Amino acid sequence: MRLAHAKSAITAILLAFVVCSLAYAAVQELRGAPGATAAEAPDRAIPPGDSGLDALKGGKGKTQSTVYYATYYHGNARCPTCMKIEAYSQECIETRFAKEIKAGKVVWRVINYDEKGNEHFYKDYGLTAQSLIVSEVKGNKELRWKNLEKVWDLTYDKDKFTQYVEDEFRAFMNARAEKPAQAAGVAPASATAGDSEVPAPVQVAGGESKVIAYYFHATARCPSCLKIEAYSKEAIENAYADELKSGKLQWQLVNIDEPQNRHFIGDYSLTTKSLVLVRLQGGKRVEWEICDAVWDYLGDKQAFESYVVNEVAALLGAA
Amino acid sequence: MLAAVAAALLLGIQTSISPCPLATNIAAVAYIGRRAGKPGLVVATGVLYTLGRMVVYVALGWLLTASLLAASSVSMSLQHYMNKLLGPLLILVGMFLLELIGTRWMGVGVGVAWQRRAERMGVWGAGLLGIVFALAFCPVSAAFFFGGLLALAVQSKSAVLVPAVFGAGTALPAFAFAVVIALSAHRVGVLFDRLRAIEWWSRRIAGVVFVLAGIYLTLHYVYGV
Repeated sequence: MRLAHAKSAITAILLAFVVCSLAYAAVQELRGAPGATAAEAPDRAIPPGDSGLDALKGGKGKTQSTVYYATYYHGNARCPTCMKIEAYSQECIETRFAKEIKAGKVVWRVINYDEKGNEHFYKDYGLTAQSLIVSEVKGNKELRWKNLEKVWDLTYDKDKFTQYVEDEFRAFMNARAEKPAQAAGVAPASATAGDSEVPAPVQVAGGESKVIAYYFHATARCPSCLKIEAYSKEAIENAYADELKSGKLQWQLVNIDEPQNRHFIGDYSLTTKSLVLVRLQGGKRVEWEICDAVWDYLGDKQAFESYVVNEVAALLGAA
Repeated sequence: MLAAVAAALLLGIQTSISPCPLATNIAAVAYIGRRAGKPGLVVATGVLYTLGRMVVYVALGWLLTASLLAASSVSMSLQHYMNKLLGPLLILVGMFLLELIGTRWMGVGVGVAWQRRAERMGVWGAGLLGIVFALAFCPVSAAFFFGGLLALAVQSKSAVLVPAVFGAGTALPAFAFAVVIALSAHRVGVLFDRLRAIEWWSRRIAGVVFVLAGIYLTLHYVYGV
């Protein structure tokens, strides 16, 4: 009798565990990773396509007159910091640009890029996280845009945040007269957003080039993957300390399970956790390589490290 | 051609002995070896398990080399979703093996006919198990399959044979291990005239292994522990 009781208790516990786990996994899927934060420098500066403009402009844009948009882009998963950024930005724009808003010169908007029809914004601006983007639109054309990436660093101080957004936006609006030639998409590609563990990308001017060594991993880690990450990092840090310091080379860890990083899978045709070396020229990706032999050298640390060092050297040499 | 086949076999074996698929491999050994009292059934189960794995790799290999699917999205979504589902599934199978669930649904008096049907289902289940385990890609198996093996298949122009051999290779270690264990257990059972006890225990052990492996996988992939 007692055995039967124990049996049904175990059955109930196991079934409850199964049901809870499935429900939890489903919720995870629907909401995306909670508190999504990690970010890295996007390596592509894709000019926003015209398709993006229809939604961006809405009904308000008068043809041929220049309108400056300050748009806060967010996804379905909201985090406290993201909400703060949105609130601070909105307050800043609405109070400090009240005159321009009244005149129809400045428009504040909030767009959810996870909503149907808005997904392209994600790619258009190379967004890696919730972002505040200012853009200049004339007629049906977005002439240029800029990601105000420092908003993430200033959330601790509302005054500094507000000042930063105002200064940047004013400078952006004024820049038109000075640099009429700057076309769409030339805006800095080194947009970044995220938590402090991600190093801020070094701004690279015009035609300068640099190399980023990405290690793409998922939320669930495996022993081999951790080893690959550790070996790669060590190899790069030992061999290229100077390049890392000068910003010519950058090491970046990216969790591809996080919604804002999923685009990397398509960008590099990733099939699994991978070490990818990318050479950027003036913010644009010109060359990249998946180091797929890392799996073969797992048993031999020395061979592994010299393989990675050589691969990096090849790209750095071209840079 | 021969070289390509040999390379595929090696890749398969290498895939299955890496630490990542260890949990599913242990479960497979337990499942294949659980009919220790009947060596014939052990071999049949093992063969079906191997076939299940081969079917998956051949199908994937064909779809991918024919460019009907993009390797990147297939690999990533399989790794993402299959591993999350695998844990709960293993727990349920384990509970079924332990007769915690399933028997009551079929009515209280479990007849001989049903028992025989369940036995047959258990052998065929090995095929299904092979399919599910093959679909649950680990980073290592994904790297080997989508990286090395597909290139090999394209190079040697054999989209069927090379993935099939790879699939056989991934099943081989678990199969061999299960046969060795089951045969030794059988020997011991015959020697001490305890075949019934051996059979009883090997089933229970298989069930417990499934539940434990399932809990481990769920904790790792669903809760990120």
